[in-house]
Amino acid sequence: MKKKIAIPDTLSRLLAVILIAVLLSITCPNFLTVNNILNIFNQASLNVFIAIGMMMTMLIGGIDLSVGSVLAISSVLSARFFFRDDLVSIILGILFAITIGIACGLVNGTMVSVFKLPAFLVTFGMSQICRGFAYLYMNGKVFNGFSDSFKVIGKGRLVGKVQMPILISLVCLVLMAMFLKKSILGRQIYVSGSNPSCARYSGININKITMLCYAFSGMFAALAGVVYVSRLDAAEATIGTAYANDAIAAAAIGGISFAGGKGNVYGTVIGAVLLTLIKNGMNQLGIATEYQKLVTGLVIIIAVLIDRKSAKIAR
Amino acid sequence: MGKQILKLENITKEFPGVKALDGVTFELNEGEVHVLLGENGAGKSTLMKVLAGVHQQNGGRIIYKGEEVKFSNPKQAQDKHIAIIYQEFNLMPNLTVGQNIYLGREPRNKYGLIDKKQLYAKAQEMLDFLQVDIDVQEQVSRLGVARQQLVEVAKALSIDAEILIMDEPTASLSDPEIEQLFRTIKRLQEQKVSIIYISHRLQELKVVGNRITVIRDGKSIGTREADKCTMDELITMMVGREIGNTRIRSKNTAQDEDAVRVEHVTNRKLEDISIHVRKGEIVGIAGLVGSGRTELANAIYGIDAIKSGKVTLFDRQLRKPSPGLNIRNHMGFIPESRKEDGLALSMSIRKNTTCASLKELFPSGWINEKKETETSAGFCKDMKLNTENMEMLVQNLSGGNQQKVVLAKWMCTDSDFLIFDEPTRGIDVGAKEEIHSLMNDLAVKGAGIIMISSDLPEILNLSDRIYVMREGRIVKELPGEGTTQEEIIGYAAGKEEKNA
Repeated sequence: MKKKIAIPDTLSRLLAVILIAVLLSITCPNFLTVNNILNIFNQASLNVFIAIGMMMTMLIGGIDLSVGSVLAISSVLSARFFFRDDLVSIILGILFAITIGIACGLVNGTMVSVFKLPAFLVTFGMSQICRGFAYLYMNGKVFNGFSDSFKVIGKGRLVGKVQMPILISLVCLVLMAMFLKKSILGRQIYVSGSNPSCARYSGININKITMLCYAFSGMFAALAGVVYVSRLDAAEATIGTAYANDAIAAAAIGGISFAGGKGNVYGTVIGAVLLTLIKNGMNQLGIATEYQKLVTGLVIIIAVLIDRKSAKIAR
Repeated sequence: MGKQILKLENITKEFPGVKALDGVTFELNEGEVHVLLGENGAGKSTLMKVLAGVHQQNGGRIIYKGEEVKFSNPKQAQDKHIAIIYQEFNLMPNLTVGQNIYLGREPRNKYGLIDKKQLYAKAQEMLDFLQVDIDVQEQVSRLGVARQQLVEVAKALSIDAEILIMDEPTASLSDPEIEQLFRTIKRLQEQKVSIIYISHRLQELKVVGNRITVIRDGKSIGTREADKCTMDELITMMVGREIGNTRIRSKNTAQDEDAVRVEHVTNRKLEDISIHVRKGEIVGIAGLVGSGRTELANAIYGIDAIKSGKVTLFDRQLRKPSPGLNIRNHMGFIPESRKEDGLALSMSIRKNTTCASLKELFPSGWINEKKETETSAGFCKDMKLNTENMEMLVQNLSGGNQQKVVLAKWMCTDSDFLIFDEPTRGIDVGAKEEIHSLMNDLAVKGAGIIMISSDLPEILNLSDRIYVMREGRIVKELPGEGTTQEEIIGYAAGKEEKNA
């Protein structure tokens, strides 16, 4: 009773996922296999990275539409590091990608906080700029044939059959959950999101917090880029165009408020998994892909509707 | 003097929990400028909103041109040619002057579309009559405050206003602009327009007004001819509020050292402010709404930028003051509006209490929830908060309890210099006394305190020294003991001519 109000929220979402999973395992025989379940999580992991970053910007009442393009630019620029079968080179490459992601995020954050521009427009502009640079840099080329050690990141399996991306996203999930719940900065993010004016009077540097959140978003986009390139063994300028949409969908289903200050990592991850689950299930049932978007859209709206209703009841 | 055009008889108006108007009587003659005078919250604006149809009275009669009227919405009052110009103008900034004057009443051509030519011609007529030089095609947002106000006047004229209510019309005007406004008012008077002029600037009342009615605590105190009354008389009528309880502060605990020194601070809203607060001293800042009290607090606290001058906190001048830096240097600020600035309403009591002192409580950067709960429970208990559940959301608490959480939050920072901005507004008597004794205790323990308040008895009962502010300046420093409400109001409303 004394614990938290967020738990029933997250719990109900978890129940929804389990319910859908149970329904699917009854209707299609191939659903409840270890391989398929792992596959779902593996597919969801990319969106998990990006959605966690998206959530960070939404917690302070912002949004980051540039994640897909940041993913593209950071992965094409860092791709050269990944040809050599050399651990140092790969680590340098990952750091380089992440640096680019953070730099893009900091530019976004500066525009939103210092120059007080609307996040929607700034990140939309940034998305065009990054995409444009990626096109210019690649000039229609596709990089592939990366080193085997690099491919471990996207395709490797640890602990039996569990894919690396699942493990990496699990680590991110735990770290970010701890950061948001236990650290002073995490708390300050929530305060800034729920009442910026109160945050200011409480001595919180909102500009710093805003930049931090956008930097996180850029970093996670870059990280997703590295995993993506490793998994597909291909880096090109066109990757990740729909990723911002997927991440926003996951966050919305996960109960992250667009007004800021409300939501947590668990909800976001559940949102991402739920999205993948629906796609996977519909594929298994042989439902045409055209219907998938339709269902996804409905799920988003229903989730937000339920959120709004339950918030009213709580009041 | 013309014949009576309006009479308000025994008007009462109750809002949930407060009696805003309690039998106000007010008369207005044709072509008269009748000033409505009163302190902050005396009920002036409420009375005018009743007349303009925004609020409906619970009792009493409005007699307009000899017959009783009842307005259930502003449109009905407008149709009877009663216009009101609020302090916050009611203009659409992105439309032109002409479009604003005829907003919602645009002349139409035979196709039912807006006839622009006629609209601008008619608007021009209004402005010509007022003898003001404003382009009817200019966008309103490009005009200064004074000209926007004239557009409001023109708008009122365009509905053939017979009664024009002006709420604090000179509040943000410069001297030449005020003169222009007064000329306009004279022109209106010549056209037999009756004007109700709300203000608390004593200086201008006798220049512009024919009669002056004072209201206080929702009651009309009396009406005087403007040329036959003295300022002292008006001031006495304005204050007369009982100083209920005796002086709370039994002895002055001020030490020799200064907690804070403010020297020649100037910014957009403040002019050459120099004050100081000693350790263990409670300094009251009095002044009417808009005198710059909160702006001064915001400047000291680092919310608003300072153009020139300096603030020294415990003998340290902060190079780039910000709330965060000030908190680390043991300054605290209890803001005026707890819901907007003081609390994150959707968060728990625990998180609100520790919100400004996380770095002091958890130097490692990581929050220990158990310690956090204990800390906040401790401070909330000190504040006599009536719940022990620290996980309760602040939005579910009553106003008084919310204020206690704000206080707990600032006690938690262990500040040695605190600014209280209207600490007891909208709070019941019991909680008020608790807050007063808390402030006294803090001072006894050596904290320097600035208290901003519109509640004069509170200022007089608690302060060791008092600064009075008017128009962004400190106009007077008074001792806490032996000062009267009349003196404070006199300085706050500008009884004395400004010193050069």
